[in-house]
Amino acid sequence: MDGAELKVEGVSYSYGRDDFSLKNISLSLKGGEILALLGPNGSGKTTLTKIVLGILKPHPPSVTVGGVNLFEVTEKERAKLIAWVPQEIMKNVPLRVEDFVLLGRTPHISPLSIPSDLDRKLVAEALRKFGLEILAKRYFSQLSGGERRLASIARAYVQGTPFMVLDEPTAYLDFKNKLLALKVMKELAQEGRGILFTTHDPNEAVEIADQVVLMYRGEILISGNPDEVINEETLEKVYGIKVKIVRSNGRAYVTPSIGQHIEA
Amino acid sequence: MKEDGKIAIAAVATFFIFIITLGMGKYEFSPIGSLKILIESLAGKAPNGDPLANIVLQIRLPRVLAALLVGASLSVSGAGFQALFRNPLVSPDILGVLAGAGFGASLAILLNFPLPFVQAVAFGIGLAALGLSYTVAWRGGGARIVDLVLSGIIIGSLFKSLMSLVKFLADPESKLPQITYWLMGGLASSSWGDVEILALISVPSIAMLYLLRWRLDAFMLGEEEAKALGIKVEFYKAAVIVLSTLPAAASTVVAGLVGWIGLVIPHMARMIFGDSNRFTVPGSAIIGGAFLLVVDTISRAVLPSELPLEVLTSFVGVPFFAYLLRRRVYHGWS
Repeated sequence: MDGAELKVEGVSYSYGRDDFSLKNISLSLKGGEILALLGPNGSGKTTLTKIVLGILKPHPPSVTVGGVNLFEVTEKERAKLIAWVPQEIMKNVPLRVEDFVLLGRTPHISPLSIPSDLDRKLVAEALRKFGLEILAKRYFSQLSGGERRLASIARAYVQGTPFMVLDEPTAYLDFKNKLLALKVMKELAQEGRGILFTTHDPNEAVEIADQVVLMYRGEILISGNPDEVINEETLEKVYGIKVKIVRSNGRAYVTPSIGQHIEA
Repeated sequence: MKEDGKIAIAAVATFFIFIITLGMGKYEFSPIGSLKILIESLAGKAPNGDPLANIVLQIRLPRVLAALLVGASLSVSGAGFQALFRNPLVSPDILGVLAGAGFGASLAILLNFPLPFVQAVAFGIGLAALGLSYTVAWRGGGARIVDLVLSGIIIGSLFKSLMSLVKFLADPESKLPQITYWLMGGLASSSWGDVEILALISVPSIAMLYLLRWRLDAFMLGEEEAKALGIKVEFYKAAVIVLSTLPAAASTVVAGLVGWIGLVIPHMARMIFGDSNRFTVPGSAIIGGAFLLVVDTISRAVLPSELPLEVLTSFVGVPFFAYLLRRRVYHGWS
């Protein structure tokens, strides 16, 4: 798992005929690192995550993990390299939490066979790790938003991939669960996994990311470490509002200023 | 595990129902008597001398087996489609297959075909309806679920119209009643040939769906997530559709249009055994088989004259379903 690198090289993607949704995107991420994909609604973050996951095929199809092109291997091989926590977590899944998390083992189970003891052991460990043990027998549809997110992270976790993509893992979560989601991502990175997550909140990127990619209208405006990327100038350009960066104890905090929109 | 135990109990109970119903009818046997005849015939001892045993083996046994298999086929078919379409309201006729088979049978009866040809035409046009639905929905290397639902409704309605046209053209004195009775469904004329059709088409399909039960669970997450979990989505979608269609088409060929079971039995199985397809698929097969066997036995051995299955399945099934619905909190699909 260590030493692998996720690389996206100069890819573009278009939903329609002429209208490019993503233009010339490159990024790279190593195991143990956290990359935050930051940008306003419609800037192409979710599309980019689907490309990184191999769900959408870009042009040129150049997404590699440890030198293996995700578009040249089977779905199963791909699912052993990179896992997904989607943004819209379907509530309406008629499965118990333990069965839901067990689905993360799908790429390791051959089509006509059943989960092994190892698969079940890994699921039990993951449920414990993410504090979901007491919910194991509950239906997924009965969980709260934060619990569903954790269960989805646990499902991606048991996939056992070197890289994980989390699309807005803190969306719709309360204050405490937001922090919990950030903490979980940090722990996953400490275990050596490469984490790519999208967010609307620059503070989350500052808090945990090793590198930040700031997207704007389907292109990468700037990328680098959080200090380089997150400043008044870039954020004001991307979001069109006045922001203020307050520094305290060596850390930057981004605060938007209400009522001070920049006229376009 | 608890659920596996429940399924085992249901399977044993279904076996007892099978033995008991085999002994029911004009000539009654005790369950032990039926069991004895069964074991003797399995051991290769032809009970030719015993006329009663012959009744059981040649007339009643195929009907009892056909009821078990048709019930299991329609229920598993419904379970497969419901998982794939992530929709609890889907039934085996979602892709127009049953309407196609119904039209095929009506047409063949109108044209005076002998029974095996009626069945073959029904089966063939049923599968052709599936092919049409798939073709209409197919674009860019795949068929989206929502497009399949729409194309299935359209193709289904086309074949229903064609079926009406055939009825309209049929002689109201002779052909029309024949077509109508065939479509209403029944097992009264079940033969060993029908059991063979079901054994060759339904049983392997049900077995394959059972083996794919874990893949079916992944489909309940939606196609993109299934893909991210490493599933060849289009391949398995097509596989599940074909494997769910074959038993339903075979059932229609043998028993006519038996509605209701394919929609409702999978829900009963979920309420009793749990929502994961590893329970729903075998549970639907067992409950569906036992249910139709009981219903058909009531029609055959209890009532003064036989009623169409379409009528009786609702009469027996609705109170049972209402009981389950009121007794259990149903969480799965909220």
